Amino acid sequence: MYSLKDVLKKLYKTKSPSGFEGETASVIAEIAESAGLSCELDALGNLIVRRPGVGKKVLIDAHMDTTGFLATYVDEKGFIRFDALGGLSVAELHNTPIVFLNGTRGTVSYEQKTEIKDRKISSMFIDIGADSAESAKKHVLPGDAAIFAGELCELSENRICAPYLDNRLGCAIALYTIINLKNCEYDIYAVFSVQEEVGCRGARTAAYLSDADFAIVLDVTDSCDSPGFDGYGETKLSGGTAIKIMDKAVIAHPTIVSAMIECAEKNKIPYQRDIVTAGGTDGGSIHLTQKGIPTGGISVPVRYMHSPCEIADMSDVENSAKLLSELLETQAIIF
Amino acid sequence: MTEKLNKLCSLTGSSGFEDEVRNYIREHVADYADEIREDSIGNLIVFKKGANRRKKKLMVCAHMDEVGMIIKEVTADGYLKFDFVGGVDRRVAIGKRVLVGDKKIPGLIGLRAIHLTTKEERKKTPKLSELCIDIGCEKKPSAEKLVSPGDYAIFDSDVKMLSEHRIKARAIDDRAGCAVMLKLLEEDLAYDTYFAFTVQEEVGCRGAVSASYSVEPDLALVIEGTTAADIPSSEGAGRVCSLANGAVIGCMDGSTIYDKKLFEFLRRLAEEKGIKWQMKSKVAGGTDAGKIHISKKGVRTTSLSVPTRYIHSPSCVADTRDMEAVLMLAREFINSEEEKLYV
Repeated sequence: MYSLKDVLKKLYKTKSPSGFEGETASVIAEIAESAGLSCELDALGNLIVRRPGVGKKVLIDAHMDTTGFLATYVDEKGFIRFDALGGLSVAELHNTPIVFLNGTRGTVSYEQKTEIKDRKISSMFIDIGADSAESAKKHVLPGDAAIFAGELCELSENRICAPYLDNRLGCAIALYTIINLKNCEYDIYAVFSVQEEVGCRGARTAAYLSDADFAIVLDVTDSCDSPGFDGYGETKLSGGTAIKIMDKAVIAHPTIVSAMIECAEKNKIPYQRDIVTAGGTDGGSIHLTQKGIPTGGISVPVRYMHSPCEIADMSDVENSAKLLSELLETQAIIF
Repeated sequence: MTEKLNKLCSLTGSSGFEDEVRNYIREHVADYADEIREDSIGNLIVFKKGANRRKKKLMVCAHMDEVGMIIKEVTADGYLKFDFVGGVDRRVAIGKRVLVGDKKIPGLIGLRAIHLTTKEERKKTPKLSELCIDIGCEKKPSAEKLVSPGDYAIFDSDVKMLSEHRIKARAIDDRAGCAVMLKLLEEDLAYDTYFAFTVQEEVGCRGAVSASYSVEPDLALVIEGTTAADIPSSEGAGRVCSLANGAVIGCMDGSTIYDKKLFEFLRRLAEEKGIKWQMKSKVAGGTDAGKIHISKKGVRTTSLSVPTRYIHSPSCVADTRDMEAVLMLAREFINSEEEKLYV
């Protein structure tokens, strides 16, 4: 049996920048199928894991994709120009190691002698150590994708550090929970969605396909407890699972919010109320699909989002899984 | 095909006012189509049977509309205040001739003469509020006999062959796509195919939403005109794509990550058949694909584009050999054995 951390470690063996989620989908499918659940891929590449039940149709969504780099042009010296897959901040990219999906290593750098404030993605490039266009193209072609090179590290105090905790954590929680569910009447569509980072595109079609009665989105949220975050919010590391009240793209359905809070209180699961005023989640697409799908969210606070070194607390991850599992096993959400 | 493009570029179709283009296409395809339907937003959806039934539906799509202007106000001294419809750079509009409304009233977007401007003024692009269309009327009543607020306007720019292969016209984006689809409709196809001529792409791909909802395709091919910047002021990746380098196969733009397998399939097809192809070296802009691929349960979507310089200006330039490459590749795609699209 997989522990939550085992599942997370399995996911870290894969790469899945937006549009290139196939590898992660197959690892998730392998784990789900070994637990006896059926899986299918839809037209856009969303992985839909089914756990049939007699009750209401529930959509559990976690996006598989991460931000990344798309090679667009190889110059005559073998330097590779790129565009961002999802939200990349220039500040995070200076001389940062990256790895292409085929294993080619490299580093992101910038046109030397330009002022920091003048640097933008179009003036940065990837150096894979090639000495000509010809040698570069043996390893990387325009259209190939790369991600930050970095592994899952364990820090002190049960904390972890890695790129792409957004949203390896949500995927691990959703997957771990559905393969370990004991009694659940809900008819579950667990969607591991594609292309969230470029505009929540996958969740839209998967939600349409499921036509669920309600949805729970597993994702990460900004932890506002590092220096400079004063006044942005109270969400913090080790503060418990973050129950979504709203983000920029969805206002969580009040029925779901109150069921989550009640369930957390009853089971003594540490929680915090999560209000996000910058950034959205798949919930933004899901709640506007079909005739409208009531949507809520469970998130894990993460520091330094979208950087090569995101930090989270495993206790928040475990509490999120506990909350999701309790909600599903006790049919706590009633529509 | 060049003749078709000539004809299509001579028609007006500012977003929301695509009637001339739609009427021409409807008439032209009548002899070749098995079903022609205009939906409520104005898309023309043309179905053509092929030699074989398809198990899954394919929709080929090009938009009929172009960027233009809309008249907002007739001033007391007979000028027309306006706004742009779709993305127009004010810098390319100034000093250009326009045609207003169905009556094609000639006018121009004028600017104070250089003698009367300061150095500082000439450094900045005038704001929209400083621009107006002059149709030669002295007073509001005489202008109102010709134009009403709500009328559309387009750039007045003829179609011209600049050299053997280079064509200059407005609206090559996306009459080039329409021309390719008209040509395909005239041919015998191996499989059933839906051709959607859409409206209102330039204002947010609105027609494509309803077209994909009613057709419910499994696969879509969007045929477009796309931004070529192979001009002296651009270099390297900044040139995006180049004239005469062939059909642009879609990888990613601002609204779509195109289906990987279809991308590979088209790339292989082009190599096998000796058709020139290229990729864009910059992720920018969007097409109807942005709406089509996320419609309903999701649609595997790909695109072929004609590289076009000075897009959204009165004078775009494209190369007829690239159009031929797009046509050939689209034809091969439609006629490919269906199962091959699903590997």
